[in-house]
Amino acid sequence: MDNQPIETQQKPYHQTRQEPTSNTPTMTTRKIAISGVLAAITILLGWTRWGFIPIPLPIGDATIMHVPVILGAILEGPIVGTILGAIFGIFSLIQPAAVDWFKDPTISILPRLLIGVCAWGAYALTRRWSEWIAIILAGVVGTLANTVFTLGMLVIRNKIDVRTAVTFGAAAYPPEAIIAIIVLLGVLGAWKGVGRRTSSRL
Amino acid sequence: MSEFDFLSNIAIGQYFPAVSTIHQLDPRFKLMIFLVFTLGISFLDNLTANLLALIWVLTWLAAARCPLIHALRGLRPLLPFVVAFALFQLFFTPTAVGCAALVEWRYLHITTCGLSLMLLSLVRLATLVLLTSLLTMTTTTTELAHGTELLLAPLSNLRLPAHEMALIITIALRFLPTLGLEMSRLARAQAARGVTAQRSHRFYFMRNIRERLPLIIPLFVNSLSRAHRLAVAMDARGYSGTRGRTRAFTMQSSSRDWFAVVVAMFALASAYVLAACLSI
Repeated sequence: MDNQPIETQQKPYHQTRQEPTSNTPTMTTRKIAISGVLAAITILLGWTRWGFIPIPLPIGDATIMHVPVILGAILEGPIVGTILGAIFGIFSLIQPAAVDWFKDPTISILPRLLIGVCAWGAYALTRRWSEWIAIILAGVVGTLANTVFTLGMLVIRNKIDVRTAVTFGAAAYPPEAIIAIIVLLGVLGAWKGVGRRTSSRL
Repeated sequence: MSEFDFLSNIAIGQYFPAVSTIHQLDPRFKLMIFLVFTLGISFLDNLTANLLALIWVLTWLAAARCPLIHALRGLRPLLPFVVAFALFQLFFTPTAVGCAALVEWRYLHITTCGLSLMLLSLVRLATLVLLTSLLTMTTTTTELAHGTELLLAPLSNLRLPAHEMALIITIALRFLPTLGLEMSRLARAQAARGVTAQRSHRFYFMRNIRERLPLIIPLFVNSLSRAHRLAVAMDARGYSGTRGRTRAFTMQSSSRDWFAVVVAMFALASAYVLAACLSI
């Protein structure tokens, strides 16, 4: 008899990756379901103000509204990240109490499309070394993309000057990145079982 | 226990049942009018023209028999942030040529440009709040989802996931109340353990994070679990995208819908013409 390796441990469904074939639709059911639920979380975080955490600076609150976008990109790839970014942007646009600047779709939607792609890029590039580092980098890069592209678009659209944008970005980015990393590590640590020992060392 | 009630202030999807022409319009037309009008208002930079647009929207609200107080309800919890932003614009608008200084005291400079920008923002905000409320109060979430799917349908010719996008929006709207209840349950469970959903002072940054994380992380993990179960259920029922799907109800446009488009475009054009006349 051949000594074929026997696969003793089957991965749980949520850790498997459904590869598209010629017969499968553009997006798998899991991608659709995760995108829908994360989009609902984005809306709820905005409406209930849970997505805004007070920081000891006079610029307002730190936001974690972009965290579902980064999470979607890490779990299901850049397409889901882009779709969630678009939904985040559309929500910013139609949210009644959004500040007047965000009533411009070039400011509210366009920069948000890039959050997921940037976060996924950072995650995919560093994943082979360490899952933890890849998640941290995805949080750092995703938050940076949100801050830089949104403030950059505000400058391009002549809503604020460069000095104000740099000051605002330098003040808002560090707390937002810290909170995003903590939330991502907490959620993905629990969901993907990162760092969890799966078998006995004996 | 209102501190645990997270659903009462959510205006999205809060349909206001009434018998009116606006309620009976095709949701595709309502969505198109909403998008075009929102975009049009966003680029309208004249205060008087924005006031005219606000009057148009108020007229439509009256025609839809929707109470004004109900339409503005979603804004109530966020009012402090709106006021803070208005003050920010008043005090920190960069000075430009042609702006007269009204108040100059140390670092505070209030100019006529800042004042007019603040008023313009408030009027535009009121218009957009009422317009959003008008759409959600006169259209059910199911109608909105079907309308979105049909509007996005041409994008599938460009190999963009139009049907999937519409389905994602439908799932998001469907899960809003479920996740709202989940948030309430989590907040109650954490409150029973001594964690409050109230905000601490902003100087206690780490305490604010520590108090929020036990609520946010379980919300995400439970939601992902729900998404996973939903995907399994969809697979089990043989969901296969758009192929071979038919509809129980089909939407058909009527002359009433086209008349609504003409009225909305006339309203937007009148605001732009007024802005052009005033700038000459």
